[in-house]
Amino acid sequence: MTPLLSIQDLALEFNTFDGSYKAIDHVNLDLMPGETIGLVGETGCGKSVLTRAAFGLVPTPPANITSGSVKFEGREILNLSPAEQRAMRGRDVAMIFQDPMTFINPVFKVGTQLVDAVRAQRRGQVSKTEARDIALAMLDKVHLPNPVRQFESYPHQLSGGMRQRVLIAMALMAEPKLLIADEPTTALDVTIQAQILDLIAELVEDMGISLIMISHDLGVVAQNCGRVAVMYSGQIVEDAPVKQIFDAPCHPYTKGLLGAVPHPLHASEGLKEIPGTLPNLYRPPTGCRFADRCTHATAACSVKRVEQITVADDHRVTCTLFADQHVDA
Amino acid sequence: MSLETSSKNNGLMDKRSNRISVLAPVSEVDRFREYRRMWATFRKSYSSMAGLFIVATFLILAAVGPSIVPFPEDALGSIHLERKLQPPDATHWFGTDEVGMDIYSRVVVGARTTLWIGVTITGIAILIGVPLGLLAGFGNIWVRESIMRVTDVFLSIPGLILAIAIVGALGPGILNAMIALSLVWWPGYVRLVQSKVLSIRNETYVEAARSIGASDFRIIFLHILPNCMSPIVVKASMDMGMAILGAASLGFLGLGAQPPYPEWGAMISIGKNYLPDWWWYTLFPGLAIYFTVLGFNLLGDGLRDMLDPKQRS
Amino acid sequence: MGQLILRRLVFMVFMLIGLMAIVFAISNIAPGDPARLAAGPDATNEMVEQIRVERGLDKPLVSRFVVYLTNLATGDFGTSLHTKRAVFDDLARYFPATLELVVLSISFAVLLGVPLGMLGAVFQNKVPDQTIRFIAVSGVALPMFWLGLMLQWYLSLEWDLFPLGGRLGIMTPRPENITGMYTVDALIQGDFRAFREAFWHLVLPSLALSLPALASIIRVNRAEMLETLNKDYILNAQAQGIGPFRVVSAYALKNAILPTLAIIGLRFGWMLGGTVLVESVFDFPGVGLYATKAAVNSDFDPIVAVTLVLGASFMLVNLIIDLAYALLDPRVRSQI
Repeated sequence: MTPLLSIQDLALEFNTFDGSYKAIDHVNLDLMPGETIGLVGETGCGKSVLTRAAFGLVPTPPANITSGSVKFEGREILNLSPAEQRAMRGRDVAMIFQDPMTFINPVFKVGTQLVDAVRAQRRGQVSKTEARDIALAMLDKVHLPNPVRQFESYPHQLSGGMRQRVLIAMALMAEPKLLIADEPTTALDVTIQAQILDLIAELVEDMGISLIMISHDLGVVAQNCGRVAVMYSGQIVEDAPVKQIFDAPCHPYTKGLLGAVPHPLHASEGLKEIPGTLPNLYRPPTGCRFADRCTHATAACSVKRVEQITVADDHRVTCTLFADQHVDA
Repeated sequence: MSLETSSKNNGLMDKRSNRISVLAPVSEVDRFREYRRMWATFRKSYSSMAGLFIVATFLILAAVGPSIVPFPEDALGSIHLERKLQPPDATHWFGTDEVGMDIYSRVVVGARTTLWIGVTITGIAILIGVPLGLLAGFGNIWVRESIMRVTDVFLSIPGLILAIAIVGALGPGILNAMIALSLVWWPGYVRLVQSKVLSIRNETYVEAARSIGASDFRIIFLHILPNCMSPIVVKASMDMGMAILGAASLGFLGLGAQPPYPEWGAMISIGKNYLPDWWWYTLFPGLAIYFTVLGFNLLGDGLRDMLDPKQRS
Repeated sequence: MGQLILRRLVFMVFMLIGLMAIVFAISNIAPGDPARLAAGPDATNEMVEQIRVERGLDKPLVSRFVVYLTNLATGDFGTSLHTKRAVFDDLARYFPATLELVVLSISFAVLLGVPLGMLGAVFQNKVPDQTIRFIAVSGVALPMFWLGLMLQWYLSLEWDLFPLGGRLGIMTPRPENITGMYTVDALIQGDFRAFREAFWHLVLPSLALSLPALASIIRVNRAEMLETLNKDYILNAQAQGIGPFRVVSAYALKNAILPTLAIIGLRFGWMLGGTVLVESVFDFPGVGLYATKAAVNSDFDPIVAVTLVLGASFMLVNLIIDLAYALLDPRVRSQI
């Protein structure tokens, strides 16, 4: 079966005054139709850049994609023209972002923006009234209270949670095949967070679309995704089904992340932090990028580039510790 | 013009650089690196470099002008009717005027007049405006309101009109024109400094300084003024150009420098009567004004991009 | 909304009184004896004293100011020494001309400046942008009066495309006075020939007058467009597949135009100041030329009156700009 999305060997750097900042380092990631995957890692590890770059949303320059390919339904998309990329974004791939206020245009009515989006997504083949009906139906689907009234509202008149619902509606109106949710709840109140996450899960399930959920919160990902990819400083260090990640994490960084999540039953055990800071990506280390902070690091870790190793069915790790556990999936 | 505002300020990059600047303590090395970055920003932009070049040329001419021009005696008025209104040639590069004075000499010597005018007007405006701005930022509500409302009134009328009113009262002349322009120029600095004070006053580090008992005086000189420096420098560079333009305008109207004083605006006010046949009389002084003002504007833009990339006109 | 306008208008009256106080103070600290100036060079001492008493110049400054304000309020702006007419009548004659000139100039500046700034941002650092930036940088530095002279020299004297100056040709009959603006009056009366000619006389002066403002509008709008185009909501609109034309000309422009509006208001002040220069160059009988002649003749009543009228116009324009802000930005609208 062809993956819906297949990122192979993708590398990207930003050219700045201080040199080139290697933000994404030869990343591989496959996503099957209907699969839901969580992309986790700390701020600045490249998870947002990775997904944006894959769909041509990182401005080049300053960014520069130095290698790799991104295939959507088997079709290479990195070398599409801007117009083709735009068409694909509207139709096949939808995105929702972290801060709903900054992603919604402050000076246009919610309804105007939704109608515009519907008509753009369907290449202008629907009339304004039809577009309005589609948009209203979608607002209903995201459980926005009183959609007809909100249609005439301006974004600043809506609460954060309502704005995020509007953005979700906007994203899903096109009935895309893939939804990318980039920290969709980080900027919201805790009570609203759960509602929005439930909503996303419900819609993804209903509409049968694939999901990439970007988050720095393992808990969020565990609830909503079938698979988890852990990113560290521009690389995917571990990639496995969610159960595997929680029950049998391999990479020391994944273990560290799990140690930093409060356990609901054993709260008294306290949290463990991961010592050290992120490596300097203007001059990244030759070997493992986590070696400096890793308690299991050996001399071998810093010598050469660490390759991705398949340790179990659908479970890949980028760590020298597992060099001898390689299995052919 | 922010010539360097490209898409390099990508949101993702911003977050990272902020993090770094928060973590890193300011050391000598960082400061040196900061200067190097500023200079690189400045040098990379052709227009900033062009501005620097023009201003440097202008300053050199203002310094040595009278001693390098071919007919220095023409600068302050001498009459050679036998060579009046001659077109530009090898001897008189910019031609001669109605009494035979060499226009090239007068334009070059005019650079010193112009520099003097620009520096005086901008200088007086800063000397009045900055202290008033600090006072308005730090004073109690009465002080602040009275200063700011007077400033508002001054800003409510186009500067040139008020300057004409003042010259009308004092009488035409270059000194009175400079007084008039200085009197209409300071309110801009009050606004600038006052708003800067208000924003900095509530910054955490100023609150912290205050909480350990630093005096207002100390806070002004240690925290506020250094932070105001870049916008003041940028504004002063821009204002040099605008003040020169203003003084030339008054000269043109016959309210500023009086002929035969070597001032570009006053030269044009006579030269315009000799258009179109004796075009050089008007063309060259005008070009001199244009390039000088352009130079200061470009320099100001370059300084702004270099010192304070976030601030825009 | 109505309340806001009313509040602003009341505030404006106070600002104008403040403005008058400043100008009045200036006129009275000036060297020279206003009574003697008014009496003329040949007057005897008795005549000067008589004028001093007639005009209340022997009273203290504050009470004179109050009298002056009361006169203003009743429409008495004094008498001009150099036209020998009531200043109010002079203003009624000259102000419409200036208004015509300034309205055409600001229209030039906005209608050209906003699209050019947008174009510059879209084609950032490409050839169109470089050209537009050159115009923007030069425009602010060009002395308006010199530009006017150069336009006159080339377009009027060399190529004979435009009239040299004035408001209408000497032989053309004036349209009947309704608003005082020749173009408007001619249109109202259906006199298209007079309209064409009046408009033709306005083109060069308003071009010269609009260039600095045009240049700053281009600069600011370009910078704001660049900043807006990097905003998240633009990314999102693009992510929906909304076409580049709509994204730029609606989604981005409506946000970028807000800061541009502020600069339009400010530059309107430059323009009002510039009328003194442009009207001198083109011998255009408006309040700018009137004020210049008055200043040269130390004729103070007209100067004060022009200051007042131009100050009031500037404040009114800024009020209109603020209302436009509210119209365009729903966040501002909901606060008033």
